[in-house]
Amino acid sequence: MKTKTQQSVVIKDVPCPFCSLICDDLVIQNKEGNLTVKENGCARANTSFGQLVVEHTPTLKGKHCSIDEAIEAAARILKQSNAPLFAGLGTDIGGMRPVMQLADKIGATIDHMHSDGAIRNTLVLQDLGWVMTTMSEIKNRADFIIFAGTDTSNYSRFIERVIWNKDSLFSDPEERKIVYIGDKLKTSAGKSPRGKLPTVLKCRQEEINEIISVLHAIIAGNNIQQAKIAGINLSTLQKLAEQMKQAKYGVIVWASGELNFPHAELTIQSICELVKYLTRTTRFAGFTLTGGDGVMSANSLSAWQSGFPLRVNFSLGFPKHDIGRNSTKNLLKNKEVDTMLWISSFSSNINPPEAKIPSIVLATPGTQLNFKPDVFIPVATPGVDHSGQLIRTDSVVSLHLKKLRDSKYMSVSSLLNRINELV
Amino acid sequence: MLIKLSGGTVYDPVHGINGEQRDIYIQDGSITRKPAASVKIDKTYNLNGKIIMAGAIDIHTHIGGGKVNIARMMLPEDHRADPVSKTKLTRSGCGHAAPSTLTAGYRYAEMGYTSCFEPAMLPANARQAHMEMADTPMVDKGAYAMLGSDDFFLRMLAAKQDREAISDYVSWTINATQQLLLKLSIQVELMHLNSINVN
Repeated sequence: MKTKTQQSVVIKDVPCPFCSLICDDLVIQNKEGNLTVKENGCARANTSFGQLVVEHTPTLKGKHCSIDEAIEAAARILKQSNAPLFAGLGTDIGGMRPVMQLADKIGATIDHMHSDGAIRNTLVLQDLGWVMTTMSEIKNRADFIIFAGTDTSNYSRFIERVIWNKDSLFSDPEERKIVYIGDKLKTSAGKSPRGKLPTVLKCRQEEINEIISVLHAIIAGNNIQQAKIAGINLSTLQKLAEQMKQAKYGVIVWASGELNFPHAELTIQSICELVKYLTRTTRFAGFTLTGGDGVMSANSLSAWQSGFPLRVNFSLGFPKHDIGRNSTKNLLKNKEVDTMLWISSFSSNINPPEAKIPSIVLATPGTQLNFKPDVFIPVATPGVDHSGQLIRTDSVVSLHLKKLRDSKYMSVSSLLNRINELV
Repeated sequence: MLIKLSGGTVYDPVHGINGEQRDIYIQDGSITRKPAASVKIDKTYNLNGKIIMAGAIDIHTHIGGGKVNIARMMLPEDHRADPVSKTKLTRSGCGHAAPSTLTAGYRYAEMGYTSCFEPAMLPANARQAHMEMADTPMVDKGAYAMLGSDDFFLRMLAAKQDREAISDYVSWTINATQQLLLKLSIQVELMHLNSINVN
């Protein structure tokens, strides 16, 4: 719906592309191309939609050029490459499709800037699997929620929209029990509307696995001899275990990108195994908060088009999956790639790694780089300058992004299609 | 546009044609009778030595949607064991039990299928299922709205809501998710197929 007032237009029901929640109830005012969030925003949305329209021309090694010159140069560089890397991949479904096509064509490796988190989840899914739920189901049914290693502050409206949502269909949000387990978590948002405080178990992030495992052992009827586990009293865990068994619909929430230590996938697996054990007698499910910048979309699209989730290499003419070797960091460190195409179209404060190889950077206008890539092309923002699709963090729901204003910048999709024709 | 397919060997069981060399005429996308000699044929394809059959239809094949993609992600060994190299005309892919979408489309076309239907499109996941089907080349695609375990639908049944209300919900779902028809589990089908009339 749009209403016009002088030179400003108000657009309702705007999906926000700037984190993986993709809240779709924003009200945005467009005043001659400058956007302000009027309702239902958050700090991140306000900043991201409010990014001023800046002038940014394509450059070749820092020198201004035309868009056609930049496209031709990019195509030339890619044509000459024997081992290209497509990294960043901060784009929507529409942008990711030509990425896959081009990667297949010229034998590239693809990796997303937030793939570390995604891969922790992939490993668990591939090994013992999991039982997961959606934002709607948590909102409507959950009576017990554990936040493991995250306080969801990077996902500002999660608690407001999903936990303390008075429109819950089948449960009273006020009755929800909230538990935080982890290090340096801000737990104030876990206080109920009527002031009920959450349970907080402070431990290091690496110790979450121990606590989850002991909870699992207690619930499975085992006798624990230790008085303290990761600094937490056994009696506290025994009480918690009992509450979990009595829950009607429990959820354990984690943010895969925030469990940032070696083999964090084992922690996620412990969470998922505990969830599965509880489903023997009651309803319990896992829920993951994934990174933004389109990582869920990139991961899913890679899986359906190539057969493998991130990180995929096409150099042999068919897709090969290797999460260790094919990371951006390792490929650059081991000098296994000779060219980098970096894509980041949601925000101007994301920097590609500096790679001493020919680099093509497609990024949001206003991006300040600390090096001069061979080709820089400013690109349009999905959900702002052009419509598109993004898959939400719970992976079940995808949303259609809106075009809010006209832009002189090309979308990643149009740009890559042009480059594809020339390669 | 009038097209002639000449000299192909036709198999058409429905009309009792069992391997006869025949010409086929297509007018604006539909098969038609042999036109009068005076009518100009716009394009002729020589199909001598080739077989002509009606394209097969797979009415129940899991080709798209979140659950198929979960399957793909859970089968790295299956996918590693079945790589499909790109060719001049086709893209690469892999997989046997749950192949990548492009591989699935190509394989169906190789087998002579022209239409494939995803039988279990979760309404909430419709958009992704459509995206995966859009990335399945060669064949026409459609899907069925899986409502057999839909909470709202089951509540309506349990509350013995009137047929109109249930039909409205089902119709709305099918329309909103751009699917072809309703899909129910066997038990629900047997119990209610006679009592639900869906337009």
